[in-house]
Amino acid sequence: MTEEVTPVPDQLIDHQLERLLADRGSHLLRTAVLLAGNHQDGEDLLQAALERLLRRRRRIEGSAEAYLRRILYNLAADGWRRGGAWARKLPLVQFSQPTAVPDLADAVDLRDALIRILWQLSPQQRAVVVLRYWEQLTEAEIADVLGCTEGTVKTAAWRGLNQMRKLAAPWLPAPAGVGPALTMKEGTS
Amino acid sequence: MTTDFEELVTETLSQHAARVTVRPDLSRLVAQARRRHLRTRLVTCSALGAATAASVVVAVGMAATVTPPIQVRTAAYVVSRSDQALTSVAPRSFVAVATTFGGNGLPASIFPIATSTRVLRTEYWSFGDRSRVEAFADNGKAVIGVGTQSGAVTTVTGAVYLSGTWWRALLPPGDPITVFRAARAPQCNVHAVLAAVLALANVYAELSPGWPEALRDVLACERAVATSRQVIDGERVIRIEPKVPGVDSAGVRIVSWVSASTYLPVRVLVTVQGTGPRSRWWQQEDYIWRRPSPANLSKLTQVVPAGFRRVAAPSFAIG
Repeated sequence: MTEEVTPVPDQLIDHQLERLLADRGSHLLRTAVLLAGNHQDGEDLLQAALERLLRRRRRIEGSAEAYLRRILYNLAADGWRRGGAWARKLPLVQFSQPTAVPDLADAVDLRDALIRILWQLSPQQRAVVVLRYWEQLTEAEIADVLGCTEGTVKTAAWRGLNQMRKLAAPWLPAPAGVGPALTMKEGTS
Repeated sequence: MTTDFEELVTETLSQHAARVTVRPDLSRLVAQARRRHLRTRLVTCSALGAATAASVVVAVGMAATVTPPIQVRTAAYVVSRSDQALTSVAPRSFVAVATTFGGNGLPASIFPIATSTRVLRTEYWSFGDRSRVEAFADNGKAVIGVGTQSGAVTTVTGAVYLSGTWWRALLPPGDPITVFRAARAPQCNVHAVLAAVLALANVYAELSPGWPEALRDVLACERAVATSRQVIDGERVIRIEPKVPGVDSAGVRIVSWVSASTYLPVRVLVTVQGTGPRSRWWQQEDYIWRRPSPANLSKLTQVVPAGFRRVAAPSFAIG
């Protein structure tokens, strides 16, 4: 005998999603902003994920949040808007001769640089880095979210972090108390 | 094993995420997504519709990416444009300012509340003669919210979330920051800059519509320095750093980033390096400029939560 499935009314789904955003919207938006590069693109990414969720609402099994997060990360890992805003190559910052002891302004520069470097990683590497270091998920959990093997996650995490370390080298505190002074290259994009 | 660099990445992501301002009407994304979903479904029913949908998608994708190239400008030019923007554009814009305090933050007692809690972050909104500030403790919970309506008589309403109380005060004409600024002659030296910085850091500045002038004082001192280009939160910005006589020796560093398109401030970072081991202090202010839409203006009203008990208003004397 085939069990008849009663379709869930659209208004009820909307209501559930609104509640989900009310409860967990801040975290989801912050995740989307980290993945997308800026606030506007983050909102667009979250909206695209919601749109996809609405399209597939009948396939949802279990937690809607987990499903939404999976879509969010997979859209990001698939290079959502690959040719658009977040595929831009942002100008790299150069540093000149070390002349000053780094202070907190340099620390802010370092953090800004790391965020920009994050956006230069491949979409998959960026998604893995955000899942690992923002969501604090294990490699197995990341593999589950992205629908890939643990080996792929390990490789992407290793390559992503190495790439970040390499690109961030000019900002990292120099040993023996010698700090780099930061001057910026004019925008070249 | 977690390396220092991994910890740095974790801290960076957390700090960057914490600065994301979440609008209260986030649920509108559901309605928008639903509309887009329905629209896509409709247009894909016909070949013409499909072609239209594709062109819309392309147009939307392209529109967000086109930004004009930035021309090289001198620091004096940038400072001058910033000053103009703060004079002409700022009064017509709604602004949200997220401030992060370094180290252990500030004692919450800088607000008119008696507590040992420390404030690590404030969010401030301002438009015209109205403003509101909320202060958050290290656990992320709001400590106090204060809304101000300036005019012939300034009305200040505070809701102390810690104690479940609220108060309302009526202040005489003249906002505190204007009074504060009138006490000194505008000039570019270490004392003037520190006074302006202190005014910005002071809670009275956040209760006052006079803060753009204090910011102008800081920017006006930023002369004869090379500017540089960076991107903050996806926005192209110009970094300017001051060369103020005496400031360096006082261990003060003020770095400002202004938008490369509007010249309005995007970020101001102040660090003060004292002589003691625990005397380093910093404050980062991130500015978001918006239209004064009804949704944005609703941020300016200090709502007293149900069940809060009214208490006597605190003293607002300027020390």
